[in-house]
Amino acid sequence: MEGYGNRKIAIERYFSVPKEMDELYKKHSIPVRLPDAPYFVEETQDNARRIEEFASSIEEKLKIRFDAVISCALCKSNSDSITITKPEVAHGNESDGGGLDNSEGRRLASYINANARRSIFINTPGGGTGKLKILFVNDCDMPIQVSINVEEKGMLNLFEYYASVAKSGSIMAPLHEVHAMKGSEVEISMLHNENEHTKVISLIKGDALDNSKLGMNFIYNGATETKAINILSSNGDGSRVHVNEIVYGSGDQKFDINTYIANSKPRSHALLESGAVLDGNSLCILKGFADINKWTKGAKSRITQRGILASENAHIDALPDMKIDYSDEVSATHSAATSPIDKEALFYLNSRGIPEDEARKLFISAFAMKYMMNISEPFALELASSIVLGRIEGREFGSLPELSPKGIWIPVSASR
Amino acid sequence: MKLELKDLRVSIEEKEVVKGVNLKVNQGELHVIMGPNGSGKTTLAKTIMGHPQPKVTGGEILVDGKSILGLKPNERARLGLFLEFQSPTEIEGLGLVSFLNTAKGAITGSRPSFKEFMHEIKENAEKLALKEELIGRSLNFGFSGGEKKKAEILQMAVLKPKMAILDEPDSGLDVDAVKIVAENVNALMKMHGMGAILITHYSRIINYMNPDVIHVMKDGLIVKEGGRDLIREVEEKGYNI
Repeated sequence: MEGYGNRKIAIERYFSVPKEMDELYKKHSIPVRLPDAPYFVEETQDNARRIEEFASSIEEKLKIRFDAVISCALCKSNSDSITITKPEVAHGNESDGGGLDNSEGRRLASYINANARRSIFINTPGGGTGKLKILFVNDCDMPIQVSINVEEKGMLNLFEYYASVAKSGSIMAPLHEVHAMKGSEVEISMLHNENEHTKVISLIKGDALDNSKLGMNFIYNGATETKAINILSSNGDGSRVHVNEIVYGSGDQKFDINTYIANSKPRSHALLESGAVLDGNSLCILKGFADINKWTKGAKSRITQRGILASENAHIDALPDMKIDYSDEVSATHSAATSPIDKEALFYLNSRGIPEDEARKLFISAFAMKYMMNISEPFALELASSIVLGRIEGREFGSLPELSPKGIWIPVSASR
Repeated sequence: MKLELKDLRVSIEEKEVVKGVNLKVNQGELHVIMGPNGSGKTTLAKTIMGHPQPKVTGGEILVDGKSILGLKPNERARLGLFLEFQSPTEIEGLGLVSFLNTAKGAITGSRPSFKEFMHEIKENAEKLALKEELIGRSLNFGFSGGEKKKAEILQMAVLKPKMAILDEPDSGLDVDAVKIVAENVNALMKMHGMGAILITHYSRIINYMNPDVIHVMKDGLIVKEGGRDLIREVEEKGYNI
């Protein structure tokens, strides 16, 4: 863990998405206004107890125990695999990202690195296996660094649940750096269920080395505004990066999700599947960019973006794009489609006795489910689907639904 | 259940597709509708089930003497009507079992217990020679054409309608599968007294069934009715009869 206490862990390697400077990307972007100085709550016993009680209430409801609870007032780890440190350098705003460019990714990463009060380090040793659950509680502005390292032939299944207790405008801003070393298998699922007082800035940079697998599942459900920049690279021969992201928005929620996938080595796979269901006046921008580098024979890259508009005023911009450098035998596809709910599908469900309103919910939940089916941890899948189902039933984001004691029926993916 | 169409006229986007069809199907009866492509058979089937697109411009659809024109598709299903789709919709993410359980609950008013329900589904899947692994999949997703057709019959077997409209249940099926589908429909008719309207282009499936009446539909009208002899006539002369 040597050197992990340095708050600059990610900034040097953090870069802007190549397309970010393009006019099209600039045009389809939700600007993020960062506070001059972050607001932090004090680490008093009272505040810590409040978070402890909140975490316990969730644990009781979900019948699980988190391996770590991360907030401003309380940070605790119950696992040897999770280390929490305080960054070495005093907080401040000295870094503007190195002044190399003015990209959004670099600006936001600089903000987080300059203001983070905690760094989380997750390490799975070579050949080791880890199943971890972390609760992030937004009790004030939370710029936070998370570094995940899965060593050679290690396995990690990490579930991160994001909730808020904030009562006024605050920012949840995790910056992740993920390394899947040779032959490792990593699955990370992030479920955002922050309340209406929270804005999310989520930055992730991850790579998978030779013959490793990196699966990322993002469920963007909570918060009034979400800005996500995910940079995920298949950097090893035969490596696999598979990203599933689903957005569920309603009311005036806004989402700007920018995911970049890259193939850098032969036989590497990088797949991005994005879905969005928007109701009310919500807005979602899905930007997916695939970058296939030179000399990546046998590489496979795919971007699919699908959107469902559940109301007349909802809006989705889907922007799939690719850059392919010279290479033989590369498979690359991208597609995007947005539509209202399929009327023929609704008729099919209606014809089986299911009333229109229920059929509509069934259709939307099925759509969302297909982006969550790769979550292999049953509890996490059940929680994610219950939250999305709850939203479809009209529940506000940020709340926690009751889990069915009988569980839910999850279809097996046809492609498995 | 008795299903009756009285001078039924249906238009799609101002074009009249069904031009005054009369048909009466009693409980337990099997009626076959044959006809060339574009004669209005599928539109007729969808209209009976209450599809929102075809517009009924005249006539009546009666179930046990009462009009169902004002009923929604789900209300018609609750009465006991069932449409076997020519091209069943794929819905990825919606498990077949979960969907059927919801449908069963909607039709009967209470959801069956998981254990009994799974047993019933597996039993019927076996009768249809439908691979068990398909039961755990999303609704029709990734199914072959034949598997979709069998899955439709599986749904019918589980939902136990009183009157089924089978829209080309034999299309895309091999010889053995046609026989299996026919035998399963026969069994449901015998066991539950289900009536059925079978829409088909071919005599093959009818050879395994006992139709009460054969109807030939052309250009939105039933132009001829009869027994098995009519099938032979169609096979010999085509639809120019």
